[in-house]
Amino acid sequence: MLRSLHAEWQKARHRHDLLVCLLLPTAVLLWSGYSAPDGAKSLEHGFHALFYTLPIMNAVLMPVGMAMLASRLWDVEVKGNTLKLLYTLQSRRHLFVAKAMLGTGEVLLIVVLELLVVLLLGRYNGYRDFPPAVQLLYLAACTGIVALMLFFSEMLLTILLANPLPALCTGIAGALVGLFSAFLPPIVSYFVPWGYFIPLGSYILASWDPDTRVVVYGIRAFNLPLLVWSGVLAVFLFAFTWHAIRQKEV
Amino acid sequence: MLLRCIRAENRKLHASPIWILFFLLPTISAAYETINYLGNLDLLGVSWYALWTQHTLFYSLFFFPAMVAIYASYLWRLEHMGHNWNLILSAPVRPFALFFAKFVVVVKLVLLTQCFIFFLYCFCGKVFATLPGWPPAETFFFLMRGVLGGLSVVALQLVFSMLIRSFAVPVFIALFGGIVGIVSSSKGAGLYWPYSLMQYGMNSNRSEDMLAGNLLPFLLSCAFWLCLLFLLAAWLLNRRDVRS
Repeated sequence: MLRSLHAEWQKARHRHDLLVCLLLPTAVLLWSGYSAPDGAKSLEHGFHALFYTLPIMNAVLMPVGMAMLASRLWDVEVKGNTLKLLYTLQSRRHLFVAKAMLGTGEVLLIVVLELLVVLLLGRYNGYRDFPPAVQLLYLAACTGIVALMLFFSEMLLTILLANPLPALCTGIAGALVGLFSAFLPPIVSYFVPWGYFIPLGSYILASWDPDTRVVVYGIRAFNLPLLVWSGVLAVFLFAFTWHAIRQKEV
Repeated sequence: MLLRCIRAENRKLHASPIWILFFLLPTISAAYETINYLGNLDLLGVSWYALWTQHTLFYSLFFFPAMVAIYASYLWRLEHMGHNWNLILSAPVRPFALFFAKFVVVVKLVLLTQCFIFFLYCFCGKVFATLPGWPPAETFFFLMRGVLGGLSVVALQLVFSMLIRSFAVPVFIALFGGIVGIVSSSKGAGLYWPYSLMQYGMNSNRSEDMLAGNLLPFLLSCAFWLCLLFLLAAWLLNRRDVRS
C-alpha cells in the first residue's frame, strides 16, 4: 500500500501537482483582494464580507479545480496506457486507494491554504472582526467535504469515460449552475451540489441599501443536515468510483 | 498545405463532445440571465441594452476563457498522445501552419459561439422579456468587438495547451486569467492583459461604452498580443525539440 502511495507521490511530483494546487488559493487571494472592502468603516465587518464571498468564489472555482485535479490523477494512466501494466503489478484496490489518498491530500491542502490566504488578507487589511474558531472549523469542514464530493464525482466521470473532457465540461457547467443557484430562491440551491458551498455558508448578507450602499452582514446557524448530506454524497461517490474501477475492463 | 491542416483540424470536431458544451453553457447562461433580468426590471429598466448587460456578464468574465481553453485543449490533446508530436513535426508542413490551423478552427468555434449567444439574446428578449423592436446595432458591434478581443485569448490558450501536456490545467489557467482580467479591468489596466480584452469588447455589465474614444488603443492592444503570441508559438515550434 505504501509503495503504491509512494508511486503516486512520484507521479504527482513529476506532474508539478503542488504548483497546480497553489493555483486555486492564488485565484482566491486575487479575487478576495479585489473584492475585500476598504475604508475605515469596513474594519468592523471586513472578515464578515470576506467569509460571505468565499463560498461564492468556491462555487465558481472548485468545480473546475476539482475536475482538474481528478482528471490529472487518472488521465496520466489513460494517456500512457499503463493500466494493463499496473494491474499486473498491484491490486486495483491499492491503485485506487493510493490515488484517492493523494487526491484527498491535495484537496485538504487547497482548503487549508485557501483559508489561510483569506485570514492573512483580513489581518493585512486590519479587519477587527476575526471569526471565532468554531466558524473557521465549520467553514473548513464545509469546503473540504463539498470539494471532496466534487472531486470523486469528477474522478468517476474520468474513469468511466476514459477522457478528461466530460469531467471538465461538467465542472464548468456545474460552476455556472452553482453560481446561478446563489441568486435564486434558497430551495433551488439544495438541488445543485456544485454550489453547496453557498447554502452551507454561515455568513450572510443581512441587508443592502442601494441608495446609501450600506451593507449589513450577519451570521446564521450552521446548516448541519446539508453538511451531513454532502458527506453522504461524498462517501457514495467514493464507493461508486471504487466500484467503477473494479468493474472497468482494461 | 495550410488548408489541409485546417481541414484535418476541422475533422477532429466531427461528432465531438465539444458540441455539448457549445450548446449547453450559453443556454444555461441565457436562461439564468433572463430570469435575473426579469426579476430586476425595476432596477435595470426595460430595454434591450439592459438585457445585454445581464446576458454577457458571467459569460465574458468567467466562462468564455474556460470555453476557449477547452476548445484549444481538445485540439492539442491528440498531439500529446503517444509519439504524435514526432509524427506531426515530420509532416511536410511548416510547424507554424499546425498552430495556425488550430487557431483558425478555434476562431471559427468562437464565432459560432458568439452567434449562438446573440441568437439566445434576441430569442430571450423577444419571447420571454417581450421587448419591443429589435436589439440596437451597437450590441452586434459589441459582439464583434468581443471576437476581436477574444483572438488573443485563443492564441494564448493554444500556446498553453501546446506547452502543457495536460488537458485540464490550461482550462483552470483560463479561469484564473479571467479572474485576473476582472481585477485588471477594474484598475483600468485591462488593455495590458489579454483576458480583459474580451470583457472590454463585449462591454458586459456597463451602462456606458467602456471603449468610447478608446477604440484605437483597444485595437492596437489586440494586434500587439496576437502578434506577440504568434511569434512565440512560431519560435517555440521551430526551436524546441519534441518531448514524447
